[in-house]
Order: sequence, then C-alpha cells, then structure tokens
Amino acid sequence: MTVKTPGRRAGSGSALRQVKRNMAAKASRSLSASLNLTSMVDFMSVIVIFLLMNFSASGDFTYNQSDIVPPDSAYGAELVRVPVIAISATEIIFEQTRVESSRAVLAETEEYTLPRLVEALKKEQEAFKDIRKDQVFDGKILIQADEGVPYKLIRRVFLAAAKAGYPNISYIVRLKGTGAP
Amino acid sequence: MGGVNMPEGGGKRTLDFDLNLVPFIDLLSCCISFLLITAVWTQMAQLDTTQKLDGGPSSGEKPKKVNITIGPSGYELMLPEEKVACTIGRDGNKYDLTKLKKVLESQKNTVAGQLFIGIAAVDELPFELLVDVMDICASLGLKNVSLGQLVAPPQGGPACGGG
Repeated sequence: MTVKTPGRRAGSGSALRQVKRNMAAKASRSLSASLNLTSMVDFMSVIVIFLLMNFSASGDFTYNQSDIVPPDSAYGAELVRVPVIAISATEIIFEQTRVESSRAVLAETEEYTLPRLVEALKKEQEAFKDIRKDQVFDGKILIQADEGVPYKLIRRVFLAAAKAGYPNISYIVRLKGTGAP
Repeated sequence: MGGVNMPEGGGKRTLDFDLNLVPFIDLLSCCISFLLITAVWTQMAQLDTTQKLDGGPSSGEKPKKVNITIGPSGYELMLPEEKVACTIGRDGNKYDLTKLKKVLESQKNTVAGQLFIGIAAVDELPFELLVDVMDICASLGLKNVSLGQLVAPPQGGPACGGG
C-alpha cells in the first residue's frame, strides 16, 4: 500500500476527475483581491454628500419613545429649544422627569389641575429668571404628544401650563415625508 | 497612490502631483462615521399656539375670531359675522380639510385686520385631528391660533358656503 500525504482528496473514482481539477484550481488561487480605488472613492464621496444633507447641528432634544409618535404636519416651523412636556398614553413627562400618570389624569374630575406639573413648571420658570436675569421670560413651552392621545389630556396639560405662566404653547409635529410611516 | 492630472498653464513647471489615497480614504471613513452618528432621519417641527387673545393695543373693538369645533361628525364653524354656526360634514371616513381651508381662506380675505382662530374638540377625539386644523391655519399664514375647551357639543347647522 502506497503512502499518501494527508489532506483533502476527492476519492479515486473516474467520475470525480472534474471535482479533483476544481479543487486543485481553488488551492492555487490567491486570497487577496484587487480593489478599484476610483470606484471606492466615488462611492464614499456619494455617502458623505448624502449624510451631509441629513446632518443637523441643532441637536435632538425631543423624546424618542416608541409610545410617542407626533402627528404629521406639512407647515411646521423650525424647532426652538424650550422646556418640553411629553405626553404618551401612559404618562406625562416634563424635562426627563415623570410628573403625572395619563390614565390617572383622565380619570380625575375637572377640578384636578395637575399640581405636580404646575409645580415643576413654576420651578423651571424661577430657574430661568434666576439664571437669565437679562432676558425677558416669554412663557414658551413645547408639548410633544402622541397622535392618538385624547384631546381631554392635551387640554388639561395646556391649561395647567397656561396657569403656571406658559401661555405660548407649541406642539411638536413630524414633517410630512420624513421618518417611519 | 493616485495621480491627478491638471492642465498645464503655459509654464514649464509640471502641475501633476500625487495624492496619497490612504489618508484620503481615512478622512472619508471618519466623515462617514461622524455623519452617520449625527444624522437626523426624522425632521421635527413645531406648530405655535397662544392662550392669550390680544386684539392689539390700538384696537378697542372685539377681535374677529373664527371658532372651530371638531366633533365626531365633522367641523362646526362659528364665523365672526354670523350668528349661527355652520358645519362641514365628514367626507366618508375623512374630515373635509379642503373645504375647511376654503372657508378659512375666504374669511381671511374678507375680514379686515387680524383674524383669530379658536379650536376646540370633543374630549375623546385624537390629538392628530387638531393638528390637521392647526396645519391648515399655518398653511394660510394665520398665526393667532388658540386651543380651548369645548363649551357645548356640536349642534349641527347649515353647511358652510366656502366662498
């Protein structure tokens, strides 16, 4: 019996000759591939231009929560950074802090005026006046609400905001044609 | 290494130079990473309202205001010169925003001075219906928009003309 060197082999049958040839060809093939740099630089430049068009220097201060989907609008104005009240079907958040439960607010009578939200808004107003003594307090606030939230909840929140000294209320919307449907 | 050929401007100096592609590709890769991280895929905007009704310092007269009530069956409008509210019924499942826009546009053109818009809705209706109306106001350049509490449920009335 002849001694053969160990390694992959396809057997000795005459039907496997083609397989043997293929295996031999693959073994001799180089592992490195040449890359056309012109195409690659073109491709990268196109990506850079596309991403530059989506670039925003103003930052993102809105809430990215799956349960808060702002309604669509075609004529919204550019966002201005002011305190944000987020309203979802379950909770009301003011500047990253949960202040009220939406379900509890909806269940309450009309006399309930969201005291924790009013208190938080008044504190924010005092902080603004302490820090920015040279600026006039304009009472602006943003409400980011889910599109399916009942109007009753929105109404109670903006009335509480107006009571706390924020009469200029803006609503965050999603510009039509952007984002997920 | 890649070479860039520039047209010669008549001088004897050659304008050819070599551009090192390795740092160039590094730069592009950094740009792509940075821009991917800072890209904003969803464009947010804001619709402004005010809870103050200000007729202006010089005007002693009552401000002209259109009250829009959103009910389950459509819009109800109380126009400044009218005593009875008119209605814009739903067009199938959808609220008729086209007709609402026509009515508001005709009011904007006929009323002298600033026109104020008050919007109220039945408590159970979703917020997006109000935003649709606010969007129409923004498209017409009506800036004095306020949201309010529903005083009485929509009664139903004659259809709005639409001018």
